[in-house]
Amino acid sequence: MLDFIIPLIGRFHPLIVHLPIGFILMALLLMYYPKKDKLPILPAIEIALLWSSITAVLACISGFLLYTSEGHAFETVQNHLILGLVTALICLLLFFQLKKSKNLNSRKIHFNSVILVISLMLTGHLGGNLTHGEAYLIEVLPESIQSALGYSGYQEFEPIALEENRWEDALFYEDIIQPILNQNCRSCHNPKNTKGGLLLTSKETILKGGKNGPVISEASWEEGQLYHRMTLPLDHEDHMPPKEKRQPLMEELELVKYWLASGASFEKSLVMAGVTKEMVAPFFIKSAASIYPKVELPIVDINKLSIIREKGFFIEPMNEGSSLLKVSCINFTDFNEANLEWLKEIKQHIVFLDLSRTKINDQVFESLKDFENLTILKLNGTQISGNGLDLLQQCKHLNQLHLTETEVNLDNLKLLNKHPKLEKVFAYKTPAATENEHKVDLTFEVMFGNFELPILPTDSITF
Amino acid sequence: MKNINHLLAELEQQRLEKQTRRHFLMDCVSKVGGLALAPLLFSCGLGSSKEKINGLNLSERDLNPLAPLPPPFLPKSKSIIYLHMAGAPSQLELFDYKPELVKYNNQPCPESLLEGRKFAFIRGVPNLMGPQANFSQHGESGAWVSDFLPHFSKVADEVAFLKAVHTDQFNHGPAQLFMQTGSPRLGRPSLGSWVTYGLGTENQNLPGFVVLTSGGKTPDAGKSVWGSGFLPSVYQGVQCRSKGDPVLYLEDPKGISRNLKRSIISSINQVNSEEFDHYGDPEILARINQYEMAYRMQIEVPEVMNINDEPDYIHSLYGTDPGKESFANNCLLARKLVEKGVRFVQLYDWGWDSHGTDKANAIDMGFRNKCKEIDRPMSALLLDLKQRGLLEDTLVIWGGEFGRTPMQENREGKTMGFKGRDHHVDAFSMWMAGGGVKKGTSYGLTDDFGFSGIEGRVSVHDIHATILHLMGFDHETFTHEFQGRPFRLTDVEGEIIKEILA
Repeated sequence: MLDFIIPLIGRFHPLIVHLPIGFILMALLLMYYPKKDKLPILPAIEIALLWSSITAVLACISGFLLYTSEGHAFETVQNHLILGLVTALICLLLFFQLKKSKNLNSRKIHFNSVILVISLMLTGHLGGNLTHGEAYLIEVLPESIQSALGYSGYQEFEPIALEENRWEDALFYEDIIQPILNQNCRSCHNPKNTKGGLLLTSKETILKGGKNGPVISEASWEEGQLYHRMTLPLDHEDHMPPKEKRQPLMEELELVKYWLASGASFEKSLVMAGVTKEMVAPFFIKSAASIYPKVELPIVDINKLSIIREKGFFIEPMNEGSSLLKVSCINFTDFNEANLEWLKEIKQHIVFLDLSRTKINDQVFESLKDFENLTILKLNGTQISGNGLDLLQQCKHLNQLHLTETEVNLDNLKLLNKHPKLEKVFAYKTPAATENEHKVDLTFEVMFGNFELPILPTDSITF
Repeated sequence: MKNINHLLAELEQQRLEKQTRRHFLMDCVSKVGGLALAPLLFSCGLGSSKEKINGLNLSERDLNPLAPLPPPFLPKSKSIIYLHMAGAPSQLELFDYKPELVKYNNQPCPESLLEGRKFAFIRGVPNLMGPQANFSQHGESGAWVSDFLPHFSKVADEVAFLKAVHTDQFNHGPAQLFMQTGSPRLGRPSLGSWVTYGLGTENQNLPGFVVLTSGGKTPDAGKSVWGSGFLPSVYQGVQCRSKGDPVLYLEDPKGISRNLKRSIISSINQVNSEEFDHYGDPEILARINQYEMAYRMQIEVPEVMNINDEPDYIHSLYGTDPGKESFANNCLLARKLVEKGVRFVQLYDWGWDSHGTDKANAIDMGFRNKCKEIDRPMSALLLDLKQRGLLEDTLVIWGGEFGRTPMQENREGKTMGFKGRDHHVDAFSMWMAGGGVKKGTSYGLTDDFGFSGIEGRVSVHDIHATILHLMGFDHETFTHEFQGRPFRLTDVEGEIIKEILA
């Protein structure tokens, strides 16, 4: 019934440890108080040392109880524990020595006080490492100093990562459950820090459970501690992970629940366990940042596309089921800027527009500025001179601009400076390409081309 | 009347008596065949947007098989230029630098390498032959390129090398088929057919899959390397002539005006559409579309296929020779075709089979001249695509059907007069460049002799999977129903080579 007493005393350890620290420092400060005649303060020093010793012993006892009740491995706490004992013993030793000799200037006393300071600091530091983690002090240092100290990169565990087109092959435990446990539980349930005697790092240790028995119930999955503790209200003191730690996502909880409910198999694949694509969809690896904008648009009606297609455009979704469109005038060379009217209705959807070799002129920018999601624009081989290119500043997603074989010059290109997304401009065979000699500062990369392959002596040899 | 009925019954009786077991079996065969035929005939429909014409469910695809289709996934490339060196160039003189092999020059090949191996011509124990070219590293990526390709070494930063490709066919025909169709046996669609089948083509006035050949001969495997296999034949490669008119009969015959031709086609199409009204066969609609396309091709093909009007600096960049059959002309044409929205351009250059049986196929003579023939054009192609912004969404692939042995060929066990290498399947080099490919990389490593890949070995199926991936397909789900089962380009294998993806 009084089971709680031991862990309770244990948990007072972080409080109690500060008492000896204070008393010891007090005693040492008095001992080395810069005053010739220290005899009048000797009783005070003795009292300080006495209380240092008492609280140090209490700290040792509470610390030991904490260690036994919280499931730390001995290897992790041993240095702290031994040094704590050493500190307490030296305290006692110093107290008795002083009581006996009443002489503050003896060599023994000096020696012991130095040892006491060192062991006190080391013990305190190791204790701090246990509660805050070894990286606590180093984390805030600049990276260069961190790496100089040899602390580059702590072990971090990868979140769940599934490939969208082969998620069916993924294993439920290995690819889903263990990553969830790594993310949410491992910091307190690993071989170094085994709270509650529970290790959540492998099949064997999960099945073994903690001090209070297995965490997965064979009788009813809902009663297993693993699920029970994770789903308790956040304010409940048994809730896991503890309130102040990272909490699992709803999707992660759902998967853990499904895994337990489906028999907690360590071998089954997702499909075998009956997991649907929707359940794991949030964990698919997002393909490398696409240059196309991420916008939620309704899919354009196929009949509407057919009607526009009949005018002569090449038009199709970027990929199956995409609401983004690719439009080209490859078979519609009579196209001019007035014809852009026909695309007005779907202009938000167009991310790729190729108007190369059509009959457009600089007026076209007036209409194009409203194509808000335009990402790649091709105007190769047209009459445009680039007046009005500044209007394209309004196409916030524009990433590539193809102006090969046009009349664009460098001053026009400068109008595009500081565009937020523009990366590449192709300006081969333009006046801009011939002006190239004086370098101008542009915030994007320009391809002027004019590549040559010099004639080599070997070109004319026949072997 | 009764008599007549009696006679008829007797006739029926006689007919049935003649029905032997053989007839029964034959009926079974033909009807089971019919059952099998049904899915074959109805497996061409692919389109998703079915509209009703004449009470039939037809998609835009049925009317125009080359109508563009969006890929299943966001693609990195929209066109492909495949440069196939027919005959298989030696990787050991081009990209796979093996300094160790120099030390073992002219020494007998270790038995351990030969154990259990078969070669096309090598018999007994051949001697090893060191690289016949001088290698150095080029560009920021430090790519190893030999002095046989001095121009290409300047653009080596643009490409991703695959140094440990392997195949399982050591004869040209099957190996070419394997490389181009995913199977060493006849009957499978080529890579270009798969791609045009899956994506259609953007420019409706040009074929979607164009084949250009050079080197005096076409590949040993014949036209099947650009065939459509079991896919509808409209997806096969259109081979353009390498000399003279690339496509015949596009010019208007003397005395016949374009208008007259137009009205002839219109009349034929009218007759055809009446025929369609009567029978409702979608093939007739496809036929009408073909006539229309042939007419439209008259407008665009002569312009695209004419390289005479290109400016001089382009001719000197590529080293073209208008009017003759050359790899350089084909490279320039490939750029022009891709610029005009052609989906797949396949170049074959013949004459890479360097056995060392005579001067023309000696590694240090004929082979070196072949290298010279392709060096400038293929480098120019990369640069020209790059400066026009086409390399952003065009995939360029270079390779042969297999590699060459690190041993000198000893045909029939004799020492040969010239330096040559035999066919080798275990390790050879290829490169890719363009849309979605990681520039300036090299993946795969061969052993000290360049005999086998020891790291990053990739198969022909892996290469196909990667190409399809870049075009927006999942090679495992991109299938065609044939003979009652779905077929893939990559059969049941293939892993995407992620290491060379950008």
